[in-house]
Amino acid sequence: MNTQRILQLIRWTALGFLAGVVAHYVLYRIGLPLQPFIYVAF
Amino acid sequence: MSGHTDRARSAALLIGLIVGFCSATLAGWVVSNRPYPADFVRLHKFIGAETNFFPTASQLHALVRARCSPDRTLVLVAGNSIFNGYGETPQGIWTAHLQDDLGSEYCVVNLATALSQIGDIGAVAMDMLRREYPRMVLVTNTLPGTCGPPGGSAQYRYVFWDAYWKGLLNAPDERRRAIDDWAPIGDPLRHQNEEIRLGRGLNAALRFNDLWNYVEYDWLTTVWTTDTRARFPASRRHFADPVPVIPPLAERFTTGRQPRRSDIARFSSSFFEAGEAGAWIERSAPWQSLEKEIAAVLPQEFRPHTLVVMTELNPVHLALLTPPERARHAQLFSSSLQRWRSAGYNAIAVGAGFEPDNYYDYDHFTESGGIKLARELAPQIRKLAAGGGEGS
Repeated sequence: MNTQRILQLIRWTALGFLAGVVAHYVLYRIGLPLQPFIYVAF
Repeated sequence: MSGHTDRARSAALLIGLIVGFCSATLAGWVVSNRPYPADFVRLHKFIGAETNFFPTASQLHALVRARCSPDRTLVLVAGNSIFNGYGETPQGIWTAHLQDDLGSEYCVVNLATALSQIGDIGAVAMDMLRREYPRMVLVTNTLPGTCGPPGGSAQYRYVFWDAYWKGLLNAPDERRRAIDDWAPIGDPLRHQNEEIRLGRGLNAALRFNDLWNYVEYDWLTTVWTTDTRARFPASRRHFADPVPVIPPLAERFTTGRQPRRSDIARFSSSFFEAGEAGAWIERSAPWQSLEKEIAAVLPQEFRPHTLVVMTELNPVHLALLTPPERARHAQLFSSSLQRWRSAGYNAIAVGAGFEPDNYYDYDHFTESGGIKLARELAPQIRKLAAGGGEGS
Protein backbone atom coordinates (compact mmCIF):
# COMPACT_ATOMS: atom_id res chain seq x y z
CA MET A 1 0.00 0.00 0.00
CA ASN A 2 1.60 3.24 -1.03
CA THR A 3 1.51 6.52 0.84
CA GLN A 4 -0.76 8.15 -1.69
CA ARG A 5 -3.37 5.43 -1.18
CA ILE A 6 -3.16 5.71 2.59
CA LEU A 7 -3.65 9.45 2.36
CA GLN A 8 -6.63 8.91 0.11
CA LEU A 9 -8.22 6.53 2.63
CA ILE A 10 -7.60 9.02 5.44
CA ARG A 11 -9.34 11.67 3.36
CA TRP A 12 -12.34 9.38 2.84
CA THR A 13 -12.44 8.55 6.54
CA ALA A 14 -12.32 12.27 7.40
CA LEU A 15 -15.12 12.90 4.93
CA GLY A 16 -17.14 10.11 6.55
CA PHE A 17 -16.43 11.59 9.99
CA LEU A 18 -17.72 14.93 8.83
CA ALA A 19 -20.82 13.29 7.33
CA GLY A 20 -21.44 11.52 10.67
CA VAL A 21 -21.25 14.80 12.57
CA VAL A 22 -23.54 16.44 10.01
CA ALA A 23 -26.04 13.56 10.36
CA HIS A 24 -26.03 14.16 14.13
CA TYR A 25 -26.63 17.88 13.51
CA VAL A 26 -29.47 17.09 11.09
CA LEU A 27 -31.28 15.17 13.84
CA TYR A 28 -31.14 18.33 15.96
CA ARG A 29 -32.13 20.61 13.15
CA ILE A 30 -35.16 18.64 11.91
CA GLY A 31 -36.71 18.88 15.38
CA LEU A 32 -36.74 22.69 15.27
CA PRO A 33 -39.78 24.61 14.03
CA LEU A 34 -39.33 26.33 10.68
CA GLN A 35 -40.26 29.64 12.27
CA PRO A 36 -40.08 30.62 15.93
CA PHE A 37 -43.47 31.37 17.44
CA ILE A 38 -44.71 34.91 17.18
CA TYR A 39 -46.09 36.26 20.41
CA VAL A 40 -49.38 38.06 19.85
CA ALA A 41 -51.19 38.96 23.05
CA PHE A 42 -54.28 40.55 21.58
CA MET B 1 -8.02 -3.50 -8.68
CA SER B 2 -10.57 -0.67 -9.14
CA GLY B 3 -13.26 -2.69 -7.32
CA HIS B 4 -10.87 -3.28 -4.45
CA THR B 5 -10.11 0.47 -4.25
CA ASP B 6 -13.82 1.34 -4.26
CA ARG B 7 -14.49 -1.12 -1.44
CA ALA B 8 -11.64 0.34 0.60
CA ARG B 9 -12.98 3.87 0.05
CA SER B 10 -16.52 2.84 1.00
CA ALA B 11 -15.23 1.11 4.12
CA ALA B 12 -13.19 4.20 5.05
CA LEU B 13 -16.21 6.43 4.47
CA LEU B 14 -18.49 4.18 6.53
CA ILE B 15 -16.00 3.89 9.38
CA GLY B 16 -15.54 7.67 9.36
CA LEU B 17 -19.30 8.18 9.37
CA ILE B 18 -19.85 5.84 12.31
CA VAL B 19 -16.95 7.31 14.27
CA GLY B 20 -18.13 10.85 13.51
CA PHE B 21 -21.69 10.16 14.57
CA CYS B 22 -20.61 8.30 17.72
CA SER B 23 -18.13 11.06 18.63
CA ALA B 24 -20.89 13.68 18.34
CA THR B 25 -23.16 11.50 20.48
CA LEU B 26 -20.44 11.08 23.09
CA ALA B 27 -19.82 14.83 23.08
CA GLY B 28 -23.58 15.32 23.60
CA TRP B 29 -23.51 13.06 26.66
CA VAL B 30 -20.50 14.93 28.04
CA VAL B 31 -22.05 18.39 27.68
CA SER B 32 -25.64 17.52 28.57
CA ASN B 33 -25.10 18.11 32.27
CA ARG B 34 -23.15 21.29 31.80
CA PRO B 35 -24.82 24.12 33.70
CA TYR B 36 -25.16 27.24 31.63
CA PRO B 37 -25.25 30.14 31.41
CA ALA B 38 -23.01 30.93 34.38
CA ASP B 39 -24.67 34.32 34.84
CA PHE B 40 -28.19 32.98 34.38
CA VAL B 41 -31.01 35.29 35.44
CA ARG B 42 -33.94 34.05 33.36
CA LEU B 43 -34.79 32.26 30.14
CA HIS B 44 -34.70 35.41 28.05
CA LYS B 45 -35.57 35.79 24.39
CA PHE B 46 -32.19 34.63 23.08
CA ILE B 47 -32.13 31.42 25.09
CA GLY B 48 -35.76 30.55 24.57
CA ALA B 49 -38.30 29.36 22.05
CA GLU B 50 -38.80 32.90 20.72
CA THR B 51 -35.52 32.47 18.84
CA ASN B 52 -35.72 28.70 18.35
CA PHE B 53 -33.53 27.81 21.31
CA PHE B 54 -34.98 24.96 23.35
CA PRO B 55 -33.06 24.12 26.55
CA THR B 56 -33.10 20.42 27.30
CA ALA B 57 -34.37 18.94 30.55
CA SER B 58 -30.80 17.97 31.51
CA GLN B 59 -29.63 21.52 30.96
CA LEU B 60 -32.42 22.96 33.13
CA HIS B 61 -31.69 20.30 35.76
CA ALA B 62 -27.97 21.12 35.77
CA LEU B 63 -28.70 24.84 35.83
CA VAL B 64 -30.73 24.63 39.04
CA ARG B 65 -28.28 22.24 40.69
CA ALA B 66 -25.35 24.53 39.94
CA ARG B 67 -27.09 27.53 41.46
CA CYS B 68 -28.67 26.05 44.57
CA SER B 69 -27.32 23.68 47.17
CA PRO B 70 -29.86 21.17 48.57
CA ASP B 71 -29.54 22.56 52.12
CA ARG B 72 -31.40 25.72 50.98
CA THR B 73 -35.10 25.94 50.26
CA LEU B 74 -35.45 25.86 46.51
CA VAL B 75 -37.98 28.34 45.13
CA LEU B 76 -38.67 27.35 41.54
CA VAL B 77 -40.38 30.15 39.68
CA ALA B 78 -42.23 29.03 36.57
CA GLY B 79 -44.98 30.35 34.38
CA ASN B 80 -45.28 32.78 31.51
CA SER B 81 -43.77 36.12 30.48
CA ILE B 82 -45.24 37.92 33.51
CA PHE B 83 -43.12 35.83 35.90
CA ASN B 84 -40.28 35.81 33.41
CA GLY B 85 -40.08 39.52 34.14
CA TYR B 86 -40.83 40.85 30.67
CA GLY B 87 -40.73 44.63 31.18
CA GLU B 88 -38.08 44.39 33.92
CA THR B 89 -34.32 44.63 33.56
CA PRO B 90 -32.19 41.57 34.40
CA GLN B 91 -30.72 43.49 37.36
CA GLY B 92 -34.04 44.74 38.70
CA ILE B 93 -36.11 41.66 37.96
CA TRP B 94 -38.74 40.75 40.55
CA THR B 95 -37.13 37.40 41.38
CA ALA B 96 -33.95 39.23 42.45
CA HIS B 97 -36.11 41.22 44.88
CA LEU B 98 -37.81 38.00 45.97
CA GLN B 99 -34.39 36.50 46.69
CA ASP B 100 -33.49 39.56 48.80
CA ASP B 101 -36.81 39.41 50.64
CA LEU B 102 -36.49 35.70 51.40
CA GLY B 103 -32.83 35.75 52.42
CA SER B 104 -29.98 33.33 51.90
CA GLU B 105 -31.80 30.30 53.32
CA TYR B 106 -33.80 30.33 50.11
CA CYS B 107 -32.59 29.94 46.55
CA VAL B 108 -34.80 31.45 43.87
CA VAL B 109 -34.45 30.25 40.26
CA ASN B 110 -36.58 31.84 37.55
CA LEU B 111 -37.49 29.30 34.85
CA ALA B 112 -40.58 31.16 33.67
CA THR B 113 -40.68 32.04 29.99
CA ALA B 114 -43.10 33.46 27.43
CA LEU B 115 -46.03 31.12 26.69
CA SER B 116 -44.93 28.50 29.20
CA GLN B 117 -47.69 26.84 31.20
CA ILE B 118 -47.78 25.05 34.54
CA GLY B 119 -47.50 21.57 33.01
CA ASP B 120 -44.22 22.08 31.16
CA ILE B 121 -41.03 23.56 32.61
CA GLY B 122 -42.35 24.14 36.15
CA ALA B 123 -43.91 20.70 36.63
CA VAL B 124 -40.96 18.90 35.06
CA ALA B 125 -38.34 20.84 37.03
CA MET B 126 -40.22 20.14 40.25
CA ASP B 127 -40.44 16.45 39.43
CA MET B 128 -36.75 16.21 38.51
CA LEU B 129 -35.51 17.99 41.62
CA ARG B 130 -37.89 17.11 44.43
CA ARG B 131 -35.90 14.16 45.80
CA GLU B 132 -32.71 16.17 45.85
CA TYR B 133 -34.27 19.26 47.41
CA PRO B 134 -36.34 18.23 50.42
CA ARG B 135 -37.55 21.81 50.82
CA MET B 136 -38.93 23.07 47.57
CA VAL B 137 -41.71 25.44 46.54
CA LEU B 138 -42.99 25.82 42.99
CA VAL B 139 -44.32 29.32 42.38
CA THR B 140 -46.10 29.62 39.08
CA ASN B 141 -48.46 32.09 37.49
CA THR B 142 -51.42 31.68 35.22
CA LEU B 143 -54.22 33.80 33.90
CA PRO B 144 -57.51 33.39 35.75
CA GLY B 145 -59.64 30.76 34.04
CA THR B 146 -56.65 29.09 32.40
CA CYS B 147 -54.38 26.22 33.32
CA GLY B 148 -53.26 24.31 30.23
CA PRO B 149 -52.89 20.57 29.64
CA PRO B 150 -50.62 18.33 31.79
CA GLY B 151 -47.86 18.47 29.17
CA GLY B 152 -47.96 22.26 29.12
CA SER B 153 -47.76 24.56 26.11
CA ALA B 154 -47.08 23.51 22.52
CA GLN B 155 -43.68 25.24 22.65
CA TYR B 156 -42.42 23.57 25.83
CA ARG B 157 -44.19 20.22 26.08
CA TYR B 158 -41.00 18.60 24.78
CA VAL B 159 -39.42 19.19 28.22
CA PHE B 160 -41.52 16.43 29.77
CA TRP B 161 -40.53 13.85 27.14
CA ASP B 162 -36.90 14.91 27.29
CA ALA B 163 -36.84 14.37 31.05
CA TYR B 164 -38.95 11.21 30.78
CA TRP B 165 -36.71 9.36 28.33
CA LYS B 166 -33.57 10.47 30.14
CA GLY B 167 -34.91 8.97 33.36
CA LEU B 168 -34.76 12.29 35.20
CA LEU B 169 -38.30 12.18 36.62
CA ASN B 170 -39.24 10.88 40.03
CA ALA B 171 -42.91 10.28 39.18
CA PRO B 172 -42.69 9.38 35.49
CA ASP B 173 -45.62 6.96 35.32
CA GLU B 174 -48.24 9.16 36.89
CA ARG B 175 -47.29 12.16 34.77
CA ARG B 176 -47.10 10.07 31.61
CA ARG B 177 -50.57 8.66 32.21
CA ALA B 178 -51.95 12.17 32.60
CA ILE B 179 -50.21 13.33 29.41
CA ASP B 180 -51.29 10.26 27.40
CA ASP B 181 -54.88 10.68 28.59
CA TRP B 182 -54.75 14.21 27.25
CA ALA B 183 -53.96 13.18 23.66
CA PRO B 184 -55.17 15.96 21.39
CA ILE B 185 -57.99 15.46 18.96
CA GLY B 186 -57.17 15.55 15.27
CA ASP B 187 -54.43 13.89 13.24
CA PRO B 188 -52.09 16.88 12.78
CA LEU B 189 -51.84 17.50 16.53
CA ARG B 190 -51.58 13.79 17.31
CA HIS B 191 -48.74 13.46 14.80
CA GLN B 192 -47.03 16.51 16.28
CA ASN B 193 -47.21 14.95 19.74
CA GLU B 194 -45.86 11.67 18.42
CA GLU B 195 -42.99 13.51 16.72
CA ILE B 196 -42.05 15.23 19.98
CA ARG B 197 -42.24 11.97 21.90
CA LEU B 198 -40.09 10.05 19.41
CA GLY B 199 -37.67 12.92 18.83
CA ARG B 200 -36.98 13.25 22.52
CA GLY B 201 -36.65 9.48 22.85
CA LEU B 202 -33.93 9.59 20.23
CA ASN B 203 -32.30 12.56 21.95
CA ALA B 204 -32.14 10.66 25.23
CA ALA B 205 -29.88 8.13 23.50
CA LEU B 206 -28.05 10.30 20.96
CA ARG B 207 -27.97 13.67 22.75
CA PHE B 208 -28.13 15.78 19.59
CA ASN B 209 -30.25 18.50 21.23
CA ASP B 210 -27.83 18.67 24.14
CA LEU B 211 -24.72 18.91 21.97
CA TRP B 212 -26.00 21.40 19.42
CA ASN B 213 -27.60 23.60 22.07
CA TYR B 214 -24.17 23.75 23.67
CA VAL B 215 -22.56 24.66 20.34
CA GLU B 216 -25.32 27.19 19.72
CA TYR B 217 -24.79 28.77 23.13
CA ASP B 218 -21.00 28.72 23.37
CA TRP B 219 -19.57 28.60 19.87
CA LEU B 220 -21.80 29.80 17.09
CA THR B 221 -25.44 30.13 16.18
CA THR B 222 -26.46 27.87 13.35
CA VAL B 223 -30.16 28.75 13.49
CA TRP B 224 -31.13 31.89 11.64
CA THR B 225 -34.09 33.79 13.04
CA THR B 226 -35.30 37.32 12.43
CA ASP B 227 -34.30 38.30 15.96
CA THR B 228 -30.78 36.85 15.79
CA ARG B 229 -29.95 37.86 12.21
CA ALA B 230 -28.25 41.13 13.20
CA ARG B 231 -25.36 39.23 14.81
CA PHE B 232 -25.65 35.88 13.06
CA PRO B 233 -23.71 33.57 13.55
CA ALA B 234 -22.48 34.89 16.92
CA SER B 235 -23.13 32.40 19.72
CA ARG B 236 -26.09 32.92 22.04
CA ARG B 237 -23.93 33.99 24.96
CA HIS B 238 -23.13 37.14 23.01
CA PHE B 239 -26.81 38.07 22.93
CA ALA B 240 -27.58 40.01 26.09
CA ASP B 241 -30.87 39.73 27.92
CA PRO B 242 -32.82 42.56 26.24
CA VAL B 243 -33.37 45.63 28.40
CA PRO B 244 -36.91 46.98 28.04
CA VAL B 245 -37.47 50.57 26.99
CA ILE B 246 -40.16 51.89 29.31
CA PRO B 247 -41.98 54.96 27.99
CA PRO B 248 -42.99 57.68 30.45
CA LEU B 249 -46.28 56.98 32.18
CA ALA B 250 -48.13 59.67 30.20
CA GLU B 251 -47.40 57.84 26.94
CA ARG B 252 -47.12 54.25 28.10
CA PHE B 253 -50.76 53.25 27.77
CA THR B 254 -51.89 55.64 25.08
CA THR B 255 -49.38 55.24 22.24
CA GLY B 256 -48.56 52.15 20.18
CA ARG B 257 -50.56 48.96 20.20
CA GLN B 258 -52.98 48.96 23.14
CA PRO B 259 -55.71 46.49 24.07
CA ARG B 260 -59.28 47.64 23.50
CA ARG B 261 -62.14 47.24 25.93
CA SER B 262 -63.24 44.10 24.05
CA ASP B 263 -59.78 42.54 24.49
CA ILE B 264 -59.94 43.02 28.26
CA ALA B 265 -63.59 41.92 28.43
CA ARG B 266 -62.70 38.72 26.56
CA PHE B 267 -60.74 37.43 29.57
CA SER B 268 -63.99 36.74 31.40
CA SER B 269 -66.74 36.81 28.75
CA SER B 270 -66.64 33.12 27.84
CA PHE B 271 -66.93 32.01 31.47
CA PHE B 272 -70.21 33.71 32.42
CA GLU B 273 -73.62 34.58 31.12
CA ALA B 274 -75.82 37.39 32.34
CA GLY B 275 -78.32 36.32 34.98
CA GLU B 276 -81.06 38.25 36.70
CA ALA B 277 -80.51 41.56 38.49
CA GLY B 278 -77.02 42.03 37.06
CA ALA B 279 -75.67 38.74 38.40
CA TRP B 280 -73.21 36.67 36.40
CA ILE B 281 -73.93 32.95 36.11
CA GLU B 282 -71.10 30.51 35.43
CA ARG B 283 -71.26 28.67 32.12
CA SER B 284 -70.63 25.01 32.81
CA ALA B 285 -68.45 23.99 29.82
CA PRO B 286 -65.42 26.31 30.33
CA TRP B 287 -65.39 25.71 34.09
CA GLN B 288 -65.59 21.95 33.69
CA SER B 289 -62.76 22.16 31.21
CA LEU B 290 -60.68 24.22 33.67
CA GLU B 291 -61.42 21.79 36.52
CA LYS B 292 -60.33 18.88 34.33
CA GLU B 293 -57.05 20.60 33.48
CA ILE B 294 -56.39 21.55 37.11
CA ALA B 295 -57.02 17.95 38.19
CA ALA B 296 -54.56 16.60 35.62
CA VAL B 297 -51.77 19.16 35.49
CA LEU B 298 -49.86 18.20 38.66
CA PRO B 299 -49.89 15.01 40.74
CA GLN B 300 -51.67 15.31 44.08
CA GLU B 301 -48.44 15.14 46.08
CA PHE B 302 -46.95 18.19 44.28
CA ARG B 303 -49.89 20.45 45.10
CA PRO B 304 -49.20 21.34 48.74
CA HIS B 305 -45.77 22.61 47.60
CA THR B 306 -47.16 24.67 44.74
CA LEU B 307 -48.28 28.28 44.84
CA VAL B 308 -50.45 29.28 41.88
CA VAL B 309 -50.49 33.04 41.41
CA MET B 310 -52.93 35.07 39.35
CA THR B 311 -51.82 38.61 38.69
CA GLU B 312 -54.33 41.39 38.16
CA LEU B 313 -54.37 43.50 35.01
CA ASN B 314 -53.32 47.13 34.81
CA PRO B 315 -55.97 49.41 36.41
CA VAL B 316 -55.76 51.69 33.36
CA HIS B 317 -57.01 48.87 31.16
CA LEU B 318 -59.48 47.54 33.72
CA ALA B 319 -61.05 51.00 33.76
CA LEU B 320 -62.05 50.45 30.13
CA LEU B 321 -64.58 47.86 31.27
CA THR B 322 -68.17 48.74 32.09
CA PRO B 323 -69.18 48.23 35.76
CA PRO B 324 -70.92 44.89 35.01
CA GLU B 325 -67.85 43.70 33.09
CA ARG B 326 -65.63 44.67 36.01
CA ALA B 327 -67.84 42.64 38.32
CA ARG B 328 -67.55 39.69 35.94
CA HIS B 329 -63.77 40.11 35.81
CA ALA B 330 -63.59 40.07 39.62
CA GLN B 331 -65.80 36.98 39.69
CA LEU B 332 -63.45 35.26 37.23
CA PHE B 333 -60.62 35.70 39.73
CA SER B 334 -62.60 34.49 42.76
CA SER B 335 -64.13 31.51 40.91
CA SER B 336 -60.74 30.49 39.47
CA LEU B 337 -59.06 30.69 42.87
CA GLN B 338 -61.79 28.54 44.34
CA ARG B 339 -61.22 25.86 41.64
CA TRP B 340 -57.48 25.72 42.32
CA ARG B 341 -57.93 25.63 46.08
CA SER B 342 -60.56 22.92 46.06
CA ALA B 343 -58.14 20.74 44.05
CA GLY B 344 -55.53 21.04 46.81
CA TYR B 345 -53.30 23.80 45.43
CA ASN B 346 -52.30 26.98 47.22
CA ALA B 347 -53.60 29.81 45.11
CA ILE B 348 -53.60 33.57 45.49
CA ALA B 349 -54.37 36.65 43.45
CA VAL B 350 -51.97 39.60 43.57
CA GLY B 351 -51.94 43.06 42.11
CA ALA B 352 -55.38 44.29 43.16
CA GLY B 353 -53.91 47.47 44.65
CA PHE B 354 -51.14 48.03 42.12
CA GLU B 355 -50.88 51.38 40.35
CA PRO B 356 -50.50 52.14 36.62
CA ASP B 357 -46.79 52.91 37.02
CA ASN B 358 -46.28 49.38 38.32
CA TYR B 359 -47.15 48.09 34.86
CA TYR B 360 -45.13 47.96 31.67
CA ASP B 361 -48.21 47.22 29.56
CA TYR B 362 -51.63 45.78 30.27
CA ASP B 363 -50.37 42.77 32.27
CA HIS B 364 -46.56 42.83 32.63
CA PHE B 365 -44.90 44.66 35.49
CA THR B 366 -42.18 47.26 35.70
CA GLU B 367 -39.54 46.97 38.39
CA SER B 368 -41.75 48.85 40.88
CA GLY B 369 -44.52 46.32 40.21
CA GLY B 370 -42.02 43.50 40.53
CA ILE B 371 -40.93 44.76 43.95
CA LYS B 372 -44.57 44.75 45.10
CA LEU B 373 -45.11 41.29 43.63
CA ALA B 374 -42.04 39.96 45.48
CA ARG B 375 -43.21 41.54 48.75
CA GLU B 376 -46.63 39.94 48.43
CA LEU B 377 -45.27 36.52 47.58
CA ALA B 378 -42.37 36.25 50.03
CA PRO B 379 -44.55 35.64 53.15
CA GLN B 380 -46.65 33.10 51.24
CA ILE B 381 -43.54 31.22 50.15
CA ARG B 382 -42.18 31.21 53.71
CA LYS B 383 -45.45 29.79 54.94
CA LEU B 384 -45.47 27.11 52.29
CA ALA B 385 -41.85 26.18 52.99
CA ALA B 386 -42.71 25.86 56.66
CA GLY B 387 -45.46 23.41 55.81
CA GLY B 388 -48.41 25.77 55.83
CA GLY B 389 -50.24 27.19 52.86
CA GLU B 390 -52.31 30.05 51.66
CA GLY B 391 -55.79 29.51 50.45
CA SER B 392 -55.52 25.74 50.22
